[in-house]
Amino acid sequence: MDRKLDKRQQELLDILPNIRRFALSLAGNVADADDLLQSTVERLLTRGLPDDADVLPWSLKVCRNLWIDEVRSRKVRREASEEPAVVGEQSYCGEQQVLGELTLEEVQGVLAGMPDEQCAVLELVAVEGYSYKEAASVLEIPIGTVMSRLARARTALIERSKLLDAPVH
Amino acid sequence: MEQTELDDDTLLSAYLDGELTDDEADGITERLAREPALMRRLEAMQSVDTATRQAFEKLDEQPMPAAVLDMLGASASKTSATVVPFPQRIVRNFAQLPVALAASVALVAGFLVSNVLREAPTDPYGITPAGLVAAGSDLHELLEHGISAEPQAFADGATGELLLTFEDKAGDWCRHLVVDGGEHGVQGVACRRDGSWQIEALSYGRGMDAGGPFRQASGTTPAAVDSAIGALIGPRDPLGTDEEKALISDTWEKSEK
Repeated sequence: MDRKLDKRQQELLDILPNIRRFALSLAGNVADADDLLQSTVERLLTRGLPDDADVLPWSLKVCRNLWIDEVRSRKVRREASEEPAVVGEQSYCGEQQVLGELTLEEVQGVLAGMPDEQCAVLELVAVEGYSYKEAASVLEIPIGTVMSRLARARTALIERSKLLDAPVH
Repeated sequence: MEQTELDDDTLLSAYLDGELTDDEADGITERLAREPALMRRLEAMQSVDTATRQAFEKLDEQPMPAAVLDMLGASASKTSATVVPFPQRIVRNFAQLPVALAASVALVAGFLVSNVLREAPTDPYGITPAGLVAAGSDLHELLEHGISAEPQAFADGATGELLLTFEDKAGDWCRHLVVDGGEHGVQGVACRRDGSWQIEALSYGRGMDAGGPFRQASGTTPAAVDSAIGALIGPRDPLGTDEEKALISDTWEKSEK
């Protein structure tokens, strides 16, 4: 194992939790997220990164592209088998139980009900602390789209969590 | 950004993230002061963000897949104890909400990750718009001379208490503080930088009289404060009481590296 590979492995090891959280925002459940994480790390190790690439944003882009490929292949498989559309083509973020202490099982419930593109934006900005510009770069969408998706994600979660049921004074 | 083309939710969302221009943010701030419904909407968005972070934190508690660790030449036992603090925008977003407004509303989640306005109203705890704790204020006295777990009475009837003193990665001293004002209160982290106490993170919430889960003893440190401590803290253990006393008598000399 050469020195460069060692360094790259350590860099990836350091950002594994970030990639995994992002994968969860796309996949919507831990099992699929971990599969996606594995595919992402595999791809990064086999194909490498450009020398000037910032390792985390680049890794997240790879993760996202692999997820898009996965969604497409699932769609093809589903169409070939003529099965009805089910969950999986969209990943999920946000359900009724938004507040309080959650178990992991409940978290997976929380991650149900939101289109993956909204969930991914929310994860990057609200969890990872990305700016809109940084999130736009990872997701390869305009900043204005980041802004609108984020607002829709938060609004949807508010509606589901009934946070505003109390009358406004 | 063209504010006229954006609906309120989009504006509030961008305001929350510090992504509006100064003029746009000022416009929202003024509206928040006049429109309780808008303020409640903003609080709800903040609660959603807090809950989302908590939800994703649950994933970090799960061990990494062994196959992934194998690919990277790491063993599960080596990595399972690794604490990975969340990157937070707490500092970047520190200056947004009017303090008095933020503290004047009952909060759904018990806490409101909040900020100090550029043109903030006078803050009862002496926090300036730049996030500095004003010298001579009760909070400054607490931070400068207080010992952890020894509550101090403030002039306005609130009670201030320090919960933790630690050295951050830059070698500056930081303290986890809580001020219980009865109906309202704050928890936060302040670090002593160049002789001044700088607020690094602050959460507003209900005080004990209002049923708020405000003390650390209740196990409810706001996620934002918890995350800030995790992001700031250096490799050394937090200080014990005797170490705190020695540090205070040395007027917060930095430790030898």
